[in-house]
Amino acid sequence: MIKKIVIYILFLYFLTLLQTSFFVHFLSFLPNIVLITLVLINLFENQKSESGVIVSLIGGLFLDVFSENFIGFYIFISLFLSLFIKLILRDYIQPKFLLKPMRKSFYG
Amino acid sequence: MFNNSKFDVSSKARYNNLNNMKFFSKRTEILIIAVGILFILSLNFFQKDVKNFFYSTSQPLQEWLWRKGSATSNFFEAILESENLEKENKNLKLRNQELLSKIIELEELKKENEILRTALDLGLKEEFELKMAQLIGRDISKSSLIINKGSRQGVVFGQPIITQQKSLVGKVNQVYENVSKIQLLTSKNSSFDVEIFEKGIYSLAKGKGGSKLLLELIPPEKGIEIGDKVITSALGGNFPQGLLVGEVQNIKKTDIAHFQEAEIRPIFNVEELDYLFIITDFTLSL
Repeated sequence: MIKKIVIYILFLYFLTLLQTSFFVHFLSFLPNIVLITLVLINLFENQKSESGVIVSLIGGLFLDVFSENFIGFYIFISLFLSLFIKLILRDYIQPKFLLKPMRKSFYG
Repeated sequence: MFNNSKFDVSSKARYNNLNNMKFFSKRTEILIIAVGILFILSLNFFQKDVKNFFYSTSQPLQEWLWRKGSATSNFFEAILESENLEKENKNLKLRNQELLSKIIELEELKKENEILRTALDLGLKEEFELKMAQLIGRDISKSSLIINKGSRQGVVFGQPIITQQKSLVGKVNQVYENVSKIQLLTSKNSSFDVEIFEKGIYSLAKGKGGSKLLLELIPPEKGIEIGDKVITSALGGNFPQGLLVGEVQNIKKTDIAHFQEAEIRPIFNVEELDYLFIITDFTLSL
């Protein structure tokens, strides 16, 4: 699990740098790809796993560091999103027929 | 809900136990969340240091990504804007042509200005009433020229044409609305009275075609020399007096002939003519 989290963190760090230095040259309106990635990670990981929450915290921190906002702005947003997704998926929606194959393709 | 049966007692105990556990974990959770929030917010006190750490660590990679992003974006922009570039290129070519024609126009004006200055320096404006005309064509036989001034601009048949150096070129032979034809001095149909400058020798000049004039009827006793300047005379009434015609190039003198002859080379060169002056205050006395 720790290995997975470290890989996620490195990936998100690189993604943040891409967002702030590389993709700015292409699109005038660039969607927040880090936030989108965090949502996708939380959506497709095992709902019992907590790595999504930790990754959201760190990803939010990266976004805060590379943005003009105070530290915590994106941390809370990503944390809220992560918990919200988990809550919704666990208690209300369980589209296992859809999520299982997606998870398999996503995590191998 | 709970009675005194054995089963009920055990259920009650389990319920209470679960309730206590749930309460405890909820409190811990809230505590952890509160501490977490406080920790995150406390990072703002060291915001500068935290951000500085990340920026300095990421700087080389960010610089590299920025360069690569810029290069990639330029590459794609070049592909996407190839059509625009073609249009822009066309527009620039048109603009270039426009500017070139303007340059030519300005060059023409400059030339015109220089010619007018030369004419002014020679005092031509004080001596004659002049109208400037541009040469726009030449006859195949090279015996007449076409200028861009005609009857609308006040050009009249017979008006003398000179260069800015006060050198005679010819006279207006045919007048149209906006153009006129000039008969050159050297034309075979041209003949007029001349004077050899500072020698008081009067003679008749006749065009020989090409680029030469012939001086006729010069008494044999009159001493003319090669290089003598020939100017117009007022005698025939064809041209005003004192216009430079050319210089003596060759003298034909025999004992048998009653008169001597001389060849004159005109001062002007037809190939180099661009602007000419029409003397408008001279009327032909026929």
